[in-house]
Amino acid sequence: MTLSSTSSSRGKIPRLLPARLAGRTGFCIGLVLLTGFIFIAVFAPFIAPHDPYTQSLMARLKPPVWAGGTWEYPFGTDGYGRDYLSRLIYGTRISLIVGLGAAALATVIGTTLGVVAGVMGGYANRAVSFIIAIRLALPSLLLALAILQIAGSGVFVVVVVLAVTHWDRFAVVLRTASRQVASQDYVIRARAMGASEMRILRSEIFPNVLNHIVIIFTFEMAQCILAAAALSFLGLGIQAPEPSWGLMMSEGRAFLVINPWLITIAGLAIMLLVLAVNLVGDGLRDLIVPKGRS
Amino acid sequence: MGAYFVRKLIEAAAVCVAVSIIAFLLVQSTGDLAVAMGGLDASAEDTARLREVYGLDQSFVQQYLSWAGRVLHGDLGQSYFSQEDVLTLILERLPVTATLSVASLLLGLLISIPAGVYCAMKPDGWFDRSCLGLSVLGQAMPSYWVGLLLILLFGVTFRILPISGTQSAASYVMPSLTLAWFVFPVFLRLSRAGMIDVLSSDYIRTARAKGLSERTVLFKHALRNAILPVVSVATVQFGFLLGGSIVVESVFSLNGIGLLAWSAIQRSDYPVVQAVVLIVAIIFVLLNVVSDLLNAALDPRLTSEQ
Repeated sequence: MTLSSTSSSRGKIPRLLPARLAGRTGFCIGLVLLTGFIFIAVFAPFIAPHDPYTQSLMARLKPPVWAGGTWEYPFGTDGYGRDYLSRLIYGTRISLIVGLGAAALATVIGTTLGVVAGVMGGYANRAVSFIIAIRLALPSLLLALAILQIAGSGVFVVVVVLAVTHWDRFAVVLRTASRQVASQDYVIRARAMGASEMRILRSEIFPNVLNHIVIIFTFEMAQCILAAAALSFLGLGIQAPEPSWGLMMSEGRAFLVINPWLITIAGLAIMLLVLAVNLVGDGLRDLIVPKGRS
Repeated sequence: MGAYFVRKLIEAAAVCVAVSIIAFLLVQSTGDLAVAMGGLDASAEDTARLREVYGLDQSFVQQYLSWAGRVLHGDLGQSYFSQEDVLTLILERLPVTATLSVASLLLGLLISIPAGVYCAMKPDGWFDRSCLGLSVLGQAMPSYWVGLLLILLFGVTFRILPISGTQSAASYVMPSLTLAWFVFPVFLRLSRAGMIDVLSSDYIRTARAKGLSERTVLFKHALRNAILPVVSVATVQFGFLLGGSIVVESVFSLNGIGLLAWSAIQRSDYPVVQAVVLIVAIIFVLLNVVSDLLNAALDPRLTSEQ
């Protein structure tokens, strides 16, 4: 019985998936790019040709191979003679970890507030609206910089600061979504049948707002990757000598005229990763939310 | 309308108070303020006197109330670094940031609204697709990177624009372009969606049936209604631009409040940081009130809705 049901569902997925993916060029490009970035991040030590921290005075500011450099350093070297390609590869790890971590924490904060406001309504709703209004009024980048200066930089602090400044969209959307779900007949019936609030939240509300969470998660992850790079660029995010892409651009600024590739390549890497995450997010939205209802 | 207005104002005032508490906490959390104010060569007696003069030995609530009282009288304190009056420092630099924000907002609107209208005329046409593609790409680019690329192109390669400073109007071109590039996707999507919506409505069909020219229908009848959401979002975007100019100002060394705040953060000059956070937040709240009122004036249904 179990066997036959799994085999039939296994038969369904391969037939369904290509049909749903067909005509979704953006989603496919995003998926391929993102998988590529994750692969690079996971296998960084095996892919990187050099150690990303080893400095060499003899090899400072070598140009990339297409601009007169050698295959020894395919993307050239930075101002400390470190291999640029290796730093770029290890930088993928930082961007993905910070983006995923910050978006995950923001999901927890925003979803909790949004669902509490949507389901409970009344004063809870007003209180959450007030907190959202305060969060939106505060200039987030400025506040993030100030907190990092006071609390000190590091991956953990950056993740927390970004989460604290990026939860608002979750709260706004989930408040509306969970309010809609909470007014559905099946929730009212579950409550009438004596289901506890926790049970209603867990098995009635949450599964029905999960699609919103997934979509906003991808969007906020992209925003957090951009914001983390901006913090590094301004010198208060991930600190040297870590190979953070924002930091690499900040270091490359001094050599803007001599070797413009130092800022061009790292910026391109950020753009591609953010693009990949956004395309996957857009694709998921189209897959989950039928056209005309978005 | 009156009751709606009063409610919005009370909400805005409450948010301002909350923001001021956060701004106050920001400086309080940085350690012993008397030591920070006294500087490196202050003696123990100097520090003690500062503590007394500024009431730093009082309770937290008392300190907040006296600080808030001073703020309401326009006294935002002194910079730890230059000993200058913080309000003066900010007022000196506000015109630069305001010019930059207005210029980039106008530039963004001037490009995105006509583009949105043409996109809406032929949805899924080549122009529509390339505009949407461009806005997806634009949202993925870090703003300082766009700024640096513009510097490389116009400042270093072609040498036609100054790469930093505020000496002439030309200095604002690249920074405004950079910021406009980031408001473009927002306005494009809004005006495109609004226009597509309006163009399928009955009154547009009537206008076309009356034999009006396509230009009159588009720009006189349709755009007026399609542009409503853009107006209110533009007000809010202006607030974001004020707060978000920190990166662009640092890339182009524009001496506005963004650069002021950034250098203040680097020097741990917290009274300046506090004041910028407070002022930008209050401007943002006020712009939101204006945006709500604009919406209400343009669409009276909103005020009766609870």
